[in-house]
Amino acid sequence: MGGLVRKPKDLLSGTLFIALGLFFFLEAQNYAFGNVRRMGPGWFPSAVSLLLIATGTVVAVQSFFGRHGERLTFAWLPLVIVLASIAAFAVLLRPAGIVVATTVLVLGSAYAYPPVRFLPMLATGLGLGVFNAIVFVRLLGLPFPIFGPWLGPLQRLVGG
Amino acid sequence: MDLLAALALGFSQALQPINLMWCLVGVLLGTLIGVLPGLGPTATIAMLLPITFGLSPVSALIMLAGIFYGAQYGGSTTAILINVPGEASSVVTALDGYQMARKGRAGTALATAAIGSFFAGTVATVLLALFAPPLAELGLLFGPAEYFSLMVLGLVASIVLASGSLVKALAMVFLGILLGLVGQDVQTGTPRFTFEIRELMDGVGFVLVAMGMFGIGEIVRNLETPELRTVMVKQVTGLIPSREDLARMIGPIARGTGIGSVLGVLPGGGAMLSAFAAYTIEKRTSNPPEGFGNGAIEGVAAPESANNAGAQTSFVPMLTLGIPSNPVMALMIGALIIQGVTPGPTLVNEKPEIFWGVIASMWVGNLMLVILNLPLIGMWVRLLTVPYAFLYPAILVFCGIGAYSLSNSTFDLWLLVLFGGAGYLFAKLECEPAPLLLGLILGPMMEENFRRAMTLARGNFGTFIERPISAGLLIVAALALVVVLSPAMRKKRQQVFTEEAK
Repeated sequence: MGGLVRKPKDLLSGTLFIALGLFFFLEAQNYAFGNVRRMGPGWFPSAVSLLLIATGTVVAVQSFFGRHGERLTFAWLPLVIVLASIAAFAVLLRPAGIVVATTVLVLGSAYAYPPVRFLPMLATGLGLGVFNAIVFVRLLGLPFPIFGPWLGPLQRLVGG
Repeated sequence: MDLLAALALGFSQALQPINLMWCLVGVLLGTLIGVLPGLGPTATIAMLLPITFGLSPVSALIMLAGIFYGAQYGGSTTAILINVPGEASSVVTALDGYQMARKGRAGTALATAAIGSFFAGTVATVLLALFAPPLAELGLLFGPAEYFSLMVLGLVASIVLASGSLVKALAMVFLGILLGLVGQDVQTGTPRFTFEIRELMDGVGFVLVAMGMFGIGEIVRNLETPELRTVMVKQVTGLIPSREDLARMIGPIARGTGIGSVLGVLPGGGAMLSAFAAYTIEKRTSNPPEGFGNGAIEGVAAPESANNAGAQTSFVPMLTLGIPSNPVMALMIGALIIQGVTPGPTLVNEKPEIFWGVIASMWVGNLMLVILNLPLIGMWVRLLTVPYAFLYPAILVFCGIGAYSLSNSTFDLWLLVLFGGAGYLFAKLECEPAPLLLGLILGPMMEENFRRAMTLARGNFGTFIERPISAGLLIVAALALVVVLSPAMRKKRQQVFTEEAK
């Protein structure tokens, strides 16, 4: 271990807070500031982002002192797979419909936790898709298609 | 309206078949998610919020409330049976509950939890009915300055109770407030931080943030360190406690209920703190204390009563002042606002059927939990054996559908991806999401009240300490900060949270 930084997690979070604070502060300067009697839309966000920068600085500075903290590791693969599966769901929901979108999300996200048993997962996805079609589309009337325009014949078969 | 008439109105609402049904759905769903790992009430309520759009406000709130206290119940079941607390509030139940289960007394432990919860729920319902209306009247005296100070107190409390670093929690609050300001400025109509994205004009939905940070972020964390769960107890017997057991649990249940009822009202308080405080007090006062940690029935009775009482009294600030004391309450406020009902001091007079209906439904719901869950325990045990590999994809699907149906837009799904990633990042950085979520919800309200208070006071910052109620609230907030920052308390606090993490 050793090194100057005692708590890498704090250094990173402090820096992140400062960066986000600066971002909000600079953007807030585009809005009318007003005065303390009649505050414009820029007053409050400017004040809060300065507070965020200040606390972020404290967090960052603290990371150089005290006991050594844990090192930071990320599980990139599960994270990316899960987020990408939701993104696929977002893309597929309207053009392909809930059944396909559900199946893709279930099957895709399963790869975040190997080993994957393909057929049982596929069956789970399809089953859940049909369940969603019945409960959310037919019974609760949520406005997304069972099968979307990409699957024209199936769409006509179930009537939407 | 006197108390009896009010309660009668409440029960006439809660006992309507349609509301009974939603209450049942709520407590069952709540128990289910309490039993299932990696899915808390915050994420579930966020997920199911869109479903309530079609319900009446009373039914919607009854169901969501059912999820909340049902989850406490389910969480304690897993705490006892497999030493994995399904909910943060059942962490301490696992200490003695699991030991009882190992000694073949799982049934007694579960029954103790059920009896304690039910008793606490009953008392908390009565307390809620007694104290909420006067508090609402006090709330009517509040001006913008008082509201601002009250929210400061709420945010301070959420920082004090956050389990990690205080400064980080404070930064999360500020970040949350800033996120809450995204969208059109209420007073001038200026779009802020929207970057010409039409969907951002109404702001960042807190439901999406909750779902992303508490749901998705949590799932990825679980995948990183898969938890081994083995169900020790295949068959649960001996559900009826003996006379001796009953005698031993009376005291702890009564004390736990008292502690929980008081702590639950505090902003940022609620179930978890209540359970922990109740357990500590029982351990301190019991003679001899050695039984604790080895399957003491008191160690199950006290925290289980306390967390249920705390869960229920945490509705007080929400229903009477419109201030959420925890993320779940914030979601409830969201649900009400979507229904066109603004929670606050006027709710009890303007919509008594909602106010009293929800209160009465809590008692009904608790009764349902006792009656239904003892026989259903076998089913919950079997559910525990569903592998996580099948569970989390299904949770993701329901999150996706929930996010989309908030405003029928794919954009919300992209926000879900964004906040899911952010949730994981913050979890890895040990920055707690709860203060951020509270900041996000309170941010716009705080700004509005701050601006109005300053305009009324002609730009005099002193208004917040010159007005007595406002000053009192700020003093309490300052005291809370001082106490928690004092070296002695810091040490104690660290000890408490490490003990809890075990």
